[in-house]
Amino acid sequence: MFDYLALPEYQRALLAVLLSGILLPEIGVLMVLERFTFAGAGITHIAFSGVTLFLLLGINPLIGAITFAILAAFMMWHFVENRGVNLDASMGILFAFFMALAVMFMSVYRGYSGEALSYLFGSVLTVDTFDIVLLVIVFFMVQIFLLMFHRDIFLLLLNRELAEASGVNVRNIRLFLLILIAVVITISMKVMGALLVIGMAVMPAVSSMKIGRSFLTVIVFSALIGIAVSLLGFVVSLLLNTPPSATIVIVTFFIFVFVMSLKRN
Amino acid sequence: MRPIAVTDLSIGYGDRVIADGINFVLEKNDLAILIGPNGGGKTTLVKTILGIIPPLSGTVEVLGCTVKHVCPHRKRIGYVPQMGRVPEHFPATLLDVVLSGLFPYKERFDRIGKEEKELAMRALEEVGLVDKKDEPFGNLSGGQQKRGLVARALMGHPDALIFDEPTSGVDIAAASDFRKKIIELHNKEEIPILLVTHDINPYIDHLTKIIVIGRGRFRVGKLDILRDIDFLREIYGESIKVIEVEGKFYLLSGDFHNV
Repeated sequence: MFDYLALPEYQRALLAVLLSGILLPEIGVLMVLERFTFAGAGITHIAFSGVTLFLLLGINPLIGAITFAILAAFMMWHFVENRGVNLDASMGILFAFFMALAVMFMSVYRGYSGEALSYLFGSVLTVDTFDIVLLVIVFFMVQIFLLMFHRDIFLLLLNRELAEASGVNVRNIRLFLLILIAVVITISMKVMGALLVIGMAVMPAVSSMKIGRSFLTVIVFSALIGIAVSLLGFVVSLLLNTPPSATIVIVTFFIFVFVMSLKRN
Repeated sequence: MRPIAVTDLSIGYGDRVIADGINFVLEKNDLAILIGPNGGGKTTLVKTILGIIPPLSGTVEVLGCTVKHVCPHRKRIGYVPQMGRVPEHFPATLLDVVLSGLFPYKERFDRIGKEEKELAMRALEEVGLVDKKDEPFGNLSGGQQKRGLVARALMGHPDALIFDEPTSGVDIAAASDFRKKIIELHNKEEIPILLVTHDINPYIDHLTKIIVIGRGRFRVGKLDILRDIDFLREIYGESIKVIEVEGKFYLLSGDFHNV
């Protein structure tokens, strides 16, 4: 197994798995508490339509995924904050529209369909240096966001009006939050796959809420659980020769079931 | 300096005016109650006072500072919003929630010190919840959560308190305790308290002002308002009835639900 880790693609894969393993649970805590889970799941599919368009145009598909995801996050925020549309309904509308675009793009060139589909299930061994650089940049962005705004976010999660009365710019915080969720989910797509990425965001988050008592400890626990399950899942996938993303999600699920069986003291 | 002064205020959203010509002052020691039909503008008025939504015209002054989004004095109002029970998985202890009352006064990276924790303990003592300080906030009962939010509002020594439907979602015994606590605060703290509630009678001996808003109309006064049936009909509709028994007022709508 350790022979594999001498290979650069495996080293990049391990680094990518660890970075996603920290980022996704951290952002997952905010998604669960602010009820953005469905929004997050929808964004993965919207990002997929960006993948298909940019493959069609011959540009790095990850750039397309990020562009579409940020665009969708902004549109969702606009519908909710400025037009009074329910968040779930907004996501339903955007999800359907962008998936329709994805189908259209895929129908034009059948040749690359296989490559596009690899974004749906993850392809961690194809992670390149550019992907790693993006993951590192986003990693620091998220940590800075959490350090700077954790009090504002805490008040928002407690009660929106309470936050507004305390001087928090709730609209801006929610926009930043949606954009960060979009970016984290999208850059993790190649690692975990669009269909599996949401599990890695939500399961460690919910597990950490079971054992952590304060907001910041829950964020830290979620990242620690993320690191543990990513490493464990990655090693198991090497030992059993199974797909890494699916293995990590299955391991995360068992950890989630174990934590849920614990009694809260 | 008057804690809260509202002058020629028009409230609403965008082009939609909910009520205008709103004038009132809340002095120290005022215990005021804000009543009116659902959708009549009670919460909109409170949000305008708090600076959450801008006035369409007119001004709201808190300690002489005109409330805009940048007015620092808007944070001088302790606010307990109308909110459902915080769910069990919410990641915070009661002490965390109480300490969050200091966030508006802290710089972004300021730490919360020992003295501030002691202040939080005194606030918890005030609401009788010291022994619950390390409990997850979501594990507390609805009444305990409300009392925790009052302790939170007391942090930073506010210059006014606003409670939006303070006893909604709280069981009868807890609601009774809660009302007593509000009256105790009114007797003890020299700050105005504004209550948005239909629950008039428990406070009736202590009320200094009654503010009524609804159907674009507004009026401030004392118990005389509750005896002005013509005005109340304009606000609540023709079916409103008021029964006064031994100094208590019972407002009944046409279907005889207590309003």
